[in-house]
Amino acid sequence: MSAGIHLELLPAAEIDELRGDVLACLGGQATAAEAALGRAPDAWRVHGRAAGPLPFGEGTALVAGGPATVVLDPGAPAPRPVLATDAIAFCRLAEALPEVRIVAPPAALRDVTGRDAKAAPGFARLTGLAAGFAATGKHLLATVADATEARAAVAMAAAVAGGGDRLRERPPLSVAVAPSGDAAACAAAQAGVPVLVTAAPARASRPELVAALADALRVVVAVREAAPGSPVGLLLRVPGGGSLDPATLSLTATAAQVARAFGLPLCATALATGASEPGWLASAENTAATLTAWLAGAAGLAGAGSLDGGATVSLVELALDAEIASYVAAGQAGVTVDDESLAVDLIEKVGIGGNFLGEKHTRRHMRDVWRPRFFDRTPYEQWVREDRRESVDLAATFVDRVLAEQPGESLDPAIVAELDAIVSHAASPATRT
Amino acid sequence: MTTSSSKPRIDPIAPRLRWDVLSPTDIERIHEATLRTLEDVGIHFPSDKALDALAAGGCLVDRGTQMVRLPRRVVLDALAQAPRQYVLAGRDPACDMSIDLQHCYLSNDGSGVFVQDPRSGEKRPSTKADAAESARFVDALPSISYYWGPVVTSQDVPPATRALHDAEAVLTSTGKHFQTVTTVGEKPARYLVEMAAAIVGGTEELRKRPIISFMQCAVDPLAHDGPNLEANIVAAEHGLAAGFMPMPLAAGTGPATLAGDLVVNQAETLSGVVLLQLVNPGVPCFIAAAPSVIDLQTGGYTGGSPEDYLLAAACTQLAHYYGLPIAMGTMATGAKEPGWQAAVDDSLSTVASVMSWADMMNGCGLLGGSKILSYPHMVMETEIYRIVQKMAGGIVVDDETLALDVIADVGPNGTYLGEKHTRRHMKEIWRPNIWDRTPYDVWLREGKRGAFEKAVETADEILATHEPEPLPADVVAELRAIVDRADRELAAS
Repeated sequence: MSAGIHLELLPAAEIDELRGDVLACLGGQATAAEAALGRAPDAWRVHGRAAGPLPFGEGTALVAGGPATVVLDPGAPAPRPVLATDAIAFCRLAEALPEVRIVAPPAALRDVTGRDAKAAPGFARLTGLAAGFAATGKHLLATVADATEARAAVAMAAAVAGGGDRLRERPPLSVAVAPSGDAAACAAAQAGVPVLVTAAPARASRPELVAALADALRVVVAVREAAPGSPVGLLLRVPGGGSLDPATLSLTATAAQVARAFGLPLCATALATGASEPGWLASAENTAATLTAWLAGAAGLAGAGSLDGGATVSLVELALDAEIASYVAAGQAGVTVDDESLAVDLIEKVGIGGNFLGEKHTRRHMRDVWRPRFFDRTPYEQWVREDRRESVDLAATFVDRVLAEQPGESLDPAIVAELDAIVSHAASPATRT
Repeated sequence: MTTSSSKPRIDPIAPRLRWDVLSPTDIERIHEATLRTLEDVGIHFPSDKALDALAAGGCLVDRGTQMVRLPRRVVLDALAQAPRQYVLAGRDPACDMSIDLQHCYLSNDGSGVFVQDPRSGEKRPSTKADAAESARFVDALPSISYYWGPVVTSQDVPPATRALHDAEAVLTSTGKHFQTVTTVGEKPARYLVEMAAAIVGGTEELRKRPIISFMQCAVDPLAHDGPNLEANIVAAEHGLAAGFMPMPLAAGTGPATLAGDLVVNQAETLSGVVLLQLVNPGVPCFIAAAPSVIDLQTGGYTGGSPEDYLLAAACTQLAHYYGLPIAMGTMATGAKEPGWQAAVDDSLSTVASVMSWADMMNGCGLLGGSKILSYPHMVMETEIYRIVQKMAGGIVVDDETLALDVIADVGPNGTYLGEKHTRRHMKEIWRPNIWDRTPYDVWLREGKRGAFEKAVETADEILATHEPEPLPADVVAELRAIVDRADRELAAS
């Protein structure tokens, strides 16, 4: 965990007990699990195609994207299916938002079907991943269903990184696997790609959390045995289909604490508002979820840009979720107390009834003050004159502006072609069999 | 909707989780810097009565400039004298608040000047009828423990006695404790005390059942306003709780660094505590705070920022370091409508105040930087309060909650739905009042009715049906007579 303000929901003794319960679920594998868990890093650096290394496991990384199948356009009466162009737009917006550290490109692309219906979901996921590599230089997170898909994702990441050795040094991709995804996880880990194993409690209760963590730990142990020292963490899928419940917030905080006790970074898909459109409800839910993840020291907070419990993706919501993350992170840094910040001499100099605005001390520190993108702070009359534009409107304008701009540094066309070839090959019936 | 005897009249938060933003060393440094500022720089007290009390108590008073330097020993003695625990009574005893550093009580926000129509979004100036209606509304909501303000002021009455008309409207419309923030000057304060005494049966009874308390704003940086000081002196003389709320804006009326802003806030509010203790040693008092930062684009008030919630948590830690309760500026978003921005501000602000255990939280119901009353907004803010209430309770871990026997009985793949343990605890699960949890298609079919629409309905119902416990007719008449007398004396002069 990074320095800053943290909140421990449960006392250490209770976490020890929970840890013991999880190991007890592993039965005969418990000893091997403890040994395997002790041999791995609890934090590592993630790289982007065009982004410097960032720590994963120190502080809370905002992860854009979720499992959405439909997209809500600004002002549209209802959502529509996600298309490949939406994946590109989503990743371009994520690229423009400094708060987003990791991007999970939309993967349920309705217009990407390939030749084999059975292979269509995987084809769409890999196509989404290719769009991600093309549209953002940030680190990507891809869900892979099996070892074939994992190997294809690894090959794509290697193509982007510049070969297998470079992939180990600077992996631009992490993969998420299901609790039964041992083979996929091992395939990725052996190539040096960080793995997040999904823990998916069916309900926000202690027994369900213990069982889900135990299932995930079995995969973690398999990965550690197949690829000793490889970076592996947990991806907590928050139950409830969206809608905030204080119990799910507690679950996130508890899971982050228990994961830390195992030396595993945990990314929580806690940004899963049940709201159907950006607004008050989505804001209240995602603010609580973000604050909880930050205070609990979760390594990642996933789901930014999701609505309706993750079923819908919204670019406006992504921009707003990034603003919440920025707001929370600014506060989480805490209060610095030293001679410079106490400024007692300055208080004496300015004196009673004075003003600090023109002081050098103010000029030195005024940029420390958080500045919003989508908070409206105009006087009321001006706000009325300017059509009562709310944060949602300001975010929609921002999204339009980003998408209207020329894309940044693009991917080498040769690499794009290589990615397309890998995707096509992976989706062919021969490969799947 | 009438008051139900089975429903608690007030529902404070007793948090279990605590969030410390300052280390013990940080607190000591801010404490020392505050004492140095009080002793070396001093505070402006533009009131002869205040200067008399401070001089008699050992402070260094310059009568010409009305500057007062407060020696360290005087400050520490005053802080030690202030009570750690007291009751702020409601006219209805079920609304009594035990101020004990263990509970967080939410109030409404105060001093607004407009009322927003929830359907048109248009605002209009507030009236005395609005002050009364807002008190009736607050009376109906258990999440709001006391009435602060008024929420909106009576702008259709003479300015000189506005606070007394506000008080008449409030005291006749709610059984909850009333903390005034607009009663300034000695004479209006004495009239207000007379009104409260008329309700409880005299000034001695008022000391026992203090149904009113006083809060005044300080003048940043490092000053007080004369009429505010004199009103709080009247409160202290009558044994009523009082406090002074600074609102230094970092980079404007306070240093740009948060620690420096805290020093300014602390110096102002502690100087008020010293005055009250010198006027009446041992009188209940509280620290108050609403520090913020300047908006660098407009030069104005931000109405919500990450710095605000850090400052709120830090101020509460500092108050409790002295063993004193605090009234903390909470919620009070700068948003003009109850939408996305309001939810971010209100959520984080409430978390900061509750997780640091702020005793009094002022408060909910106003938009546009504490100017515009919106009843649906107030309902929505109480929903946020209820979520934070549940979160702050943490997770209880004991044999009953661990439920190992039940887990063993149910076994793998079973269900807990029919268990007695479930029936015992199912009502503890948080349930929303206005949160929308309908499936997407239902929500679409029903015209996209969300939290705001449900809040409008709730507000309409309260306004249409809630009747507070009435005051006896003779007391109502007495209050009317007092305000009439005040009008003749103060409004005419």
